[in-house]
Amino acid sequence: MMKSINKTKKAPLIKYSIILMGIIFLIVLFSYSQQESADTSATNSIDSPLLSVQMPRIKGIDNVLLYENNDNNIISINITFKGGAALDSKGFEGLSNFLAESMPLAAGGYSVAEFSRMFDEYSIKINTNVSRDAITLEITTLNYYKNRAFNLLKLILNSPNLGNEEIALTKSNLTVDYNIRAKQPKFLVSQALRNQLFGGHEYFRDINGNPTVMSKITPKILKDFKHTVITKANMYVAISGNISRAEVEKEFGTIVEGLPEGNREFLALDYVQPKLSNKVIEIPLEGASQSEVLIAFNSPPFDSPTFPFARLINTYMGQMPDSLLFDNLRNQKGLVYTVSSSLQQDSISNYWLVSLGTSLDNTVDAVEAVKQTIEDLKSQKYDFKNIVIAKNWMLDNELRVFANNRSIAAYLNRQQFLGIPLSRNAEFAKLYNNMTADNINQALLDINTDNMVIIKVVSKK
Amino acid sequence: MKFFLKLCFLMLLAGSAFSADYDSFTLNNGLKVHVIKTNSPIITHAIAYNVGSIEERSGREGIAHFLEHAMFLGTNKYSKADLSNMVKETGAYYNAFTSFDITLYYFNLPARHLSRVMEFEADRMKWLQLNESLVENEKQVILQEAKMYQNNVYSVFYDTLRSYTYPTTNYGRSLIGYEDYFKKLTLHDIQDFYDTWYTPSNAQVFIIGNVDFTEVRKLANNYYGKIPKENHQFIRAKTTEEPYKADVRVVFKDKRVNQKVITRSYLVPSLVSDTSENKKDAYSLILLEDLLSSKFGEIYKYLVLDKKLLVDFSVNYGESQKGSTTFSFSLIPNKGVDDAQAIAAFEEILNKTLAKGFTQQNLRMSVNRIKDSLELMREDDMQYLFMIARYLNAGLSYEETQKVVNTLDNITSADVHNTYNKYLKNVNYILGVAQGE
Repeated sequence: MMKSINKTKKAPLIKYSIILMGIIFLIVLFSYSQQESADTSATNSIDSPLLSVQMPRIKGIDNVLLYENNDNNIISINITFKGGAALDSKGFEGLSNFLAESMPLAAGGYSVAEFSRMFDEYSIKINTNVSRDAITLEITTLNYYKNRAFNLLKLILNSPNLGNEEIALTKSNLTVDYNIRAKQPKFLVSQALRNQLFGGHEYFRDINGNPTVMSKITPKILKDFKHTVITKANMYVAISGNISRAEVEKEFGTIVEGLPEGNREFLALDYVQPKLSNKVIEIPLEGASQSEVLIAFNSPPFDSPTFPFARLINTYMGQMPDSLLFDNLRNQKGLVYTVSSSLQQDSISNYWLVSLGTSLDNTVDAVEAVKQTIEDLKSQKYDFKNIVIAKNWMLDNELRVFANNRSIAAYLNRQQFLGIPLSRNAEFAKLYNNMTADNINQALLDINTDNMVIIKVVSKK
Repeated sequence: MKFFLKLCFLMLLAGSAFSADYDSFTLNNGLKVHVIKTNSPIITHAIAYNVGSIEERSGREGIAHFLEHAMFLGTNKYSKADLSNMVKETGAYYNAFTSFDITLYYFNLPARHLSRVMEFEADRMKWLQLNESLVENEKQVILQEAKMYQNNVYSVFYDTLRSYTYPTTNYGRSLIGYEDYFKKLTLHDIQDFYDTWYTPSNAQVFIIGNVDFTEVRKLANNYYGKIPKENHQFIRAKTTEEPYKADVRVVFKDKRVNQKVITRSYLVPSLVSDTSENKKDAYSLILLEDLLSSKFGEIYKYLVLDKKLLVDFSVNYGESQKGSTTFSFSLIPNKGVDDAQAIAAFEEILNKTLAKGFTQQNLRMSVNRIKDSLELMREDDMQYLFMIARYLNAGLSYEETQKVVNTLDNITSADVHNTYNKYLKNVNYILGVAQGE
C-alpha cells in the first residue's frame, strides 16, 4: 500500500512540452527581501492570499526562495538543475531522465532496499521529473523528520550509488514504461510532432530515451554526466512549508557544500524556429479504435507585446471548461470526446497546439471545425464580453497554485528558473484591466492558419 | 492513484488525530450534507448519488455513465449554455465520475461562488430536462469515449478479467457499457434511471474549503431544502459473489501488449461488510496489503532486487467496494522470464514470508508509517473529499470512521496471519495473464 519513492510519470506530451507561464500564473506580488520579509499584495480577487517570499543565503547558490508556511507540519522542497534532455549527448537520448530515475534509488553505499526503507520509515516522499531543459527533484516531508530528509537529500545529491544494481533497476523500470507507451496513440502523435517541428535539433530529442540507448549506459557514463549537471551553479531551490529561513540556510549550506561549482553558461541555446508548414502526417496504428490528432501553428514568443493577449485567446478558445472549441466540436457537433489548446512555450521555442481525441472517421471534419473556429475568431466573430469572462476565469484559476506547499514551491522555482520576475504577474493583470478588443484582434492577426502541421493516428489496414 | 486514494481513506480513518473542522446535517427531504473547513480559498462542492453501474438492469449496461453525461445537458431553469456560462463566470472546474457504487459530480471554485453551485445542483437533482436531440448527440461523444478507453489494451485486459472475477454480480461488467447496448438506449430509459435514483434521500453533499458552517446550512436549506421528499424503496442489485469453485486461468492475447502482466485475485470481504468478523478481517487485510507490498519487504526484495525475475510487484486490496471485493497480486515479469517461473518464485517467497510471520513491531511500523503519510496528504482538499464521499456513500458513517484507527492499532500479527489463512491460503483464485500474440 505504501510507496516511499513515488516517481512522477508524466505523459510524454507533457514532458515534451514545458508550459512556460502555464496554469499557475499568479496575481500576487511577491516580495523579495534579503533581511526580512514583508507582506505585499496586488490583486483584483478577494480570495488571493498573501505570500511573503524570502531569499535565504546559501553559499554558492544564487537562486533560493522560501515561503514559510506554518499552517501545518509539511515541508516541500523543489530543486531544479538546468540541463534536462537538451544536455543528453548524441546517442544517449534519455540520459538525464535515466540519471534522475537512478539517483534516488540508493546513495551513500546503502543498498536499494536499505535506502528505500530509510525513506519509508520516515514518510519522506521524493519525485523526479525531467523536461527538455531541467531536472527536478521534489521532496516532501514532515517538520519533525526534516533532519532525516536533509541527510537523505545530501546523500542523493552528493553520493548517489549509480552502480550496476541501480542501473539495472532503472533500465527495467524505464523499459516497462517504454513498452507500455510505445503503442499508445498519444505517445505516437507527440513523437511525430516533435520530429516534424524540431527534427534533429539537440534540444528536442526524446526525453525518455529508449531501450537501445539504455543498454549502453554504464556507471562511468552516468557518474560523469551527474558531475556535469548536478552542480551549484546550475541549482535552483524553492521551499514552501514549516521551516524557518535560518534552518534553510544552515541545512542547505551543509547539503550542497560538496557539490562541484559547475558552469553557469553551459545551456545557452539560440532560439529555434519550429518547422511549421501546411502538412498532414498520418500515423497508421494496428488495432486503433480511436484517433488522436495534434494541430500545431504559430504563437507569439514570450516577450512579444501580443503574448499576454494570446494567453487570453488560448484560455477562451481551448483551455477553460466549456471553451469555444469544446462547445463547437463536442457540445454542438459531437465530433470529439476531448479537445483543448495550449501555448507551448519553451526556453528557446514556442508554438500553439490544439489536441483532439476523436473517432477515426471524424478526423477530417474535426480538423476543419478547428480551422473554422480559428478563422471565425480572426474575422472578429466573437463577443468581447466572453474574452473578459475568460480573463476572470483565468485569474481565478491562478489561485489554485495556493492549494498546497508543493505547488507553491514548484511555481516559485519555475519562475526563478525562467528568470521571470514574480511581479510580472501583477503587471499582466494591470494590462488585462485596461485591454480593449483591439489588443485581442492584434494578437489574432498574428495567427497563421496557412501553416498548420496536423498529425493524426489512422487505422492500419 | 490507488496509493493516493488509500492514503486519503486512511487519513479519514485516523480520526481525531487528523480531524478537520467538520459539520453535518440532514435536511427534511433526507439529503445529508457534510462540511469540512480548511484554509483553502478554492473550495470543492461535490454531490454523490448512491448509484453506479452495479444497479443497471441487464441490457441497459452503461446507462449510469450515460446519465452522468446527460446531467450536463440542462434543466428547466438552466440551459446547457447557462451552465457553461456559470462555470466560466465563477472560475470553476467541474467534472463527474461514475463507478460501480457511486456517481459523483463536483465543482472546484472560489468560495464566494458556493451559492451558485448549490442552486444549480439542487435544480438538476430534480428538474433535469432532456430531449432526443441532446441525447443522440451525447451518444456520439460517449461512443468516442468508449473507443478511447479501448485504445488502451491494458484497460481491455482488466475489463476482461473483471468478468471472470465477478461472474454473478454486476461488478463483472464494463463500467462504460457495451457499444451495442448503449447505442440502443433511449431518452425514456435515461429519464427512468434518473427518476428512480436521483433523489435527495439517495444523495449526499460534501463541501470542503474555507467556508462558514452557518452560511452553508442556510444555503443548503434554501436550495436543496426546496426539493420534495421522495418515498422510494430502492431495490438494489446483488453485490456478493460465492467463493470460486476452481482456480481459473485467463490468458488475454493481443498484439498491442508489449509488456506482460500477471495478476492473481482472491475474493475477500470489504470494509463495508455486514458482520463484525468480516469487518475485522477487512482491517487485517489493509495491514496485510501494506506488509506484503512494501518495497523494502521480503517479497519485493527477492523477486525484483535479488532474483531479478520481476520489474515490479504490487498488492491491491479493494477495501471500499460495497459488496464482494478482491485482494490481488500483480507481477510484471522481466523480459525472458516465463509465467511459470515468475509464479513459482512468487509462491515460494510468499509462503516463506507468511511462515516467518509478522511481529508486532512490523505491524506497529506499518501503522505508524501510514499515520505519517496521512499527515502528508492533508494538503489536497479535493481528493480528500472524494475519498470521504466514497466511503460514506459505501455505508460508513463519519462518526464510525473516527473509531477505526483504534481498530487498526489493535490488529495483532495473529489476526493478520489468520486472515491470510482464511482468504488466501489454499483458496481458489483467478489468474490473469496479458501477453502479446
